[in-house]
Amino acid sequence: MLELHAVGKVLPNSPPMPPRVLFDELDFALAAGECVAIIGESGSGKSSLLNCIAGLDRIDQGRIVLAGERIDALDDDRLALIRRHQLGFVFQAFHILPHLNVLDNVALPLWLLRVDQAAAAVEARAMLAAVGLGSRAEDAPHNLSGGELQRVAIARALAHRPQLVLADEPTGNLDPLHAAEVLDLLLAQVRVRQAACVLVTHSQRAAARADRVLELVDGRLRRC
Amino acid sequence: MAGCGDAETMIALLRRLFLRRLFLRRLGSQYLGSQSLGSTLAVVAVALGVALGLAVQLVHQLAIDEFSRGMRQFAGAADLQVVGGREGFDEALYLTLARDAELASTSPLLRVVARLPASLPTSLPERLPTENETLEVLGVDLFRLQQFDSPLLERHGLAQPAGQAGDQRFAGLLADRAYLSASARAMLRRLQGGDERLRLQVGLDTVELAVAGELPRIDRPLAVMDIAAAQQLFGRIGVLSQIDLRLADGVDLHRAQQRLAGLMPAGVSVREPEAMIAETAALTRAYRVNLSMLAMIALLTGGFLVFSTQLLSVSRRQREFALLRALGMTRRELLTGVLAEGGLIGVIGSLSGIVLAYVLTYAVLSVTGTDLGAGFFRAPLVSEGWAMFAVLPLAPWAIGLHFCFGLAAGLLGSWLPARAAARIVPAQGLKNTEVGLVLLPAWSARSGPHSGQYSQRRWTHPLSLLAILLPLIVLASLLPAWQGVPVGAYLAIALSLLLAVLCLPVLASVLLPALKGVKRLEWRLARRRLLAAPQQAVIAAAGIVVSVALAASMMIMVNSFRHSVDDWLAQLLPGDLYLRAANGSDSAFFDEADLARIAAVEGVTSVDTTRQLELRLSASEPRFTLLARAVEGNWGLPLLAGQRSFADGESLPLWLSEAGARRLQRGLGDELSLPLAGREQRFVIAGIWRDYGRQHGAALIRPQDYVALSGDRRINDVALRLEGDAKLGQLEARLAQLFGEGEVLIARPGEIRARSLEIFDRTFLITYLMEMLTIVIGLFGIATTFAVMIHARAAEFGMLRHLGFTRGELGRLIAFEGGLTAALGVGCGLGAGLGMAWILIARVNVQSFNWSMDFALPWTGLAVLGLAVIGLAAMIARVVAARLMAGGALQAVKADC
Repeated sequence: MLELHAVGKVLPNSPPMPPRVLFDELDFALAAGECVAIIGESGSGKSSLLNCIAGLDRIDQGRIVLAGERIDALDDDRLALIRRHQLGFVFQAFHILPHLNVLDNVALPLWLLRVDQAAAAVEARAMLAAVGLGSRAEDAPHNLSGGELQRVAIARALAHRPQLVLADEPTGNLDPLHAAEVLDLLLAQVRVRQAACVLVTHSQRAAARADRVLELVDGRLRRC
Repeated sequence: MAGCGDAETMIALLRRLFLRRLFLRRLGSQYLGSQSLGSTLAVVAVALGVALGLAVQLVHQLAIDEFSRGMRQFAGAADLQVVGGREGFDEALYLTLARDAELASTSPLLRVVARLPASLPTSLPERLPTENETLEVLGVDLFRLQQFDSPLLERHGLAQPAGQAGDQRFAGLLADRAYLSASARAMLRRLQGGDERLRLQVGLDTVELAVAGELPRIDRPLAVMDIAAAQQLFGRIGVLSQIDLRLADGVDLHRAQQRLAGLMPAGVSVREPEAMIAETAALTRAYRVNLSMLAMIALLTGGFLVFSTQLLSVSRRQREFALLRALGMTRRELLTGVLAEGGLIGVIGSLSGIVLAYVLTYAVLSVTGTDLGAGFFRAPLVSEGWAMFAVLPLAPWAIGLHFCFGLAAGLLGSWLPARAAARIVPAQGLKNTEVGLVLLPAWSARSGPHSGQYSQRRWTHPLSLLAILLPLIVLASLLPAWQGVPVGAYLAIALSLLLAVLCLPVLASVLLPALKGVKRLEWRLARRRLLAAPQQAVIAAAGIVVSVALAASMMIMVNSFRHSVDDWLAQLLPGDLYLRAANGSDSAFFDEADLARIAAVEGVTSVDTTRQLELRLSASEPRFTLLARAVEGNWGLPLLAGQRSFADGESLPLWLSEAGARRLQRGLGDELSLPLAGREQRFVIAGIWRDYGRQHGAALIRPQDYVALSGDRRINDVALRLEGDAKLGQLEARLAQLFGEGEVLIARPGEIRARSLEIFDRTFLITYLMEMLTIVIGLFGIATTFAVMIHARAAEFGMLRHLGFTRGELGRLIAFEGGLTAALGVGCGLGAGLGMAWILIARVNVQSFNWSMDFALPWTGLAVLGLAVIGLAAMIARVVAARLMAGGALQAVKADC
């Protein structure tokens, strides 16, 4: 599903400081339907790695192959189309559009895929029901709690049935009780939809819920 | 002392945290980003508003200064002046006054504006309409003038010092010579190729005078000669234009003025010399006020730009302000700091504007002279080149006032952003969540993404304002003018602008749901965003509303005016060919023999004449024009009321111009007395006609009545009707041959119309320029507001990029938002512009200039204006977005975590 071959990335620094090597000769593979957690200290490059996988940031060496297609050399628009079709995102800060209601926020990825509005609404409602927010479809986002907003974000990430879900600290803004609920929901839905998942987290507890846990240390991935 | 110390600490704090940053980062060269550009543009906008307003005042001040200086050069030490119409009055009055015991001395004067017969083309379109081909000639009594300490008599002037050669001592009394000012000699060199002989047109003949010497310290083109010689030369024997009076010691000025007024014949007044300055200032007041109002609207638009750039700055520094609040800075200090920034923008803008005003004044003077393009002041400038700066007035009051206007624009523009900064909650600000909403005004910030509950709130607020403002606008527009200035109408215009801005959310609520059918995703998101956050439209499009409303109202007014002027000219000139002895001259005219020669030209079937002269109806009224000509035939009369035929055998008919009717408050059937040949002659008003040529009013009487009452048979203009198959070109050549090349002006009605409309367009040139300027400022407003919006919504756009939006799609989304916002602004602006145009046409023009016009909408122009603004706004929003989002989606999403 996802393969990283000898991936390297260097962050430029202000002279006379030398450039910082973020990761080097990094190899990694993820099978379809598999869920892997990446942990590491702050600044270790976890989120940067996620961005490189999503095609939002460029690597300096190596190859990234997603669903059989090498993506590291694609242009910006092609990468956008790949994200649109194959990726789903869950962010720490939810990023729910305040001017759309809950249903429309979930339907947004389907709109991007030019799915008919009525069909998109049906799919989005089903997704909302799956995350336990079937009755809140018409609500405005500002009426929802943090945990509910993250559930909307999960629904949005999975509504268009992506092959890979990238979750960056999805429970970082939530209290432990809600964090566990949301994580359960995310992993359950990922599995139901047979998607692969890369979960970046600080939390050992959250990481333990994944099929595999990798730690990013000194620019290399190490199995825990 | 403690208070003083506190103030010092506060100033130091403001300087370090706010003002230094404004100088170095936002106005300096250290940071050439959009923030720097926005702040610089805000300064420029304020500077332009201040400069335009001040320049209008400076040009006017200079014109009045020159005029009053010129007037004092002749008045010398006169206490009072006796003045009549342009044709003058009987000199018998002088004999009466010379014997008056309360008058120490009297000095008679004859003033004639004479045509200089230069080798100019006969055909009208080939000459510039304001080209100076006339020279003011004064006939003075040298011996009387000496009693008035006139500068004309200074050394090297008219009175030669004792000891000169005998034949030169009385040179000023010789009939065949005149003294010229330096600028008159320069004009002679330009027009006649030399300055040794002065050639003047009298009737259609040319007379020559020797130039005896130069007049000292006279700024404008002027010739001075002996009064008796002037009376004889110009055929004005027994006629005077003015008598300067000096009172005997101990005589009370006002009592003497009252007593002397009783001695004056009809059409002659006695008044203080300064009254002429006030009269001249009053002539231009309406035009000046209108230009100043335009400048104020430019400044208002600049205020909106200050608002949007300050909002952008506050939006970007939200974390910084939250930190300062967390560290203990009070809300008041934060508010003061942001206001101080706005004040500094205002101060820098004002100071730059004051300097720019002088540069602009210099440029205007160089191009159009002191008449601001409207033709009020014809005198050329005293100085040229850089020396002109030396004569520009200092005008401390005008400078102080415009400085305050600029400062107010900076402070008021910063008020809402400063309040938004002061409202920042430290905890939220440090997290930087919902950055956009925190900064928006409270009444609109409440409206969230959903329609239901708060759509009611959206409607209620502007509608209640509508209910208050609309009656106020109607009431204000109905107020009468105050001292000739339509204050109520301008207040109604300002309120209309406010109403239009407040109507933006209403228009958004009505219009945007109707656009639901468009399926395109970017369009749908843009529409939903604006529907959910109409406050964004208010902030972004306020500048557009103001500038489009101004431009549309001026376009409609100018188009209506132009259409009406064209229509008026078409009605006025039904003949085939028109002849004029000279433009604006008292000395050139046709006589009956000339008329007979014209009528005898082959191809001419009928000849109608016009005699035009200026009368003085009272001491306080400006001069009033009298036209003696037929009301039908080769001259037309665009009647608004009444009729052309008049059957009453006992009364003499008179047709009064619309401006005259309003100024004199007369209507159909009323009587009006006119001073003719020193007597009051009564007429009955048979009709009211439209006249755009004479702002202070005109009356038209039949030529036979005029000749019978005045005995004056001189003619200024002639209108011809030609045989059907006569060739115009050949006939023009014959007429030119008849009078000599360049002696008379010959024009076809189409040429007169074209030239008149050209002058019309030039008069409104400065208006067009100011309109364009406000639109540019309005578009800057869109740019900076979208910079604020994009910055505030960076995380949202970053998320959309994560979801698979391409850069192009994101660009289109923002372009749609920009275009939609501008469309709302254009809609409100056009609506307000329509209302403002009605106020301008029906109230401002009538109250300022006393004339009405037909309402004519320039559909194409308005459509082009609206579409251009929408297109430009969409383009600007997209460019700003591309620039601001060049950093990518990563930082945006990450910054929000």
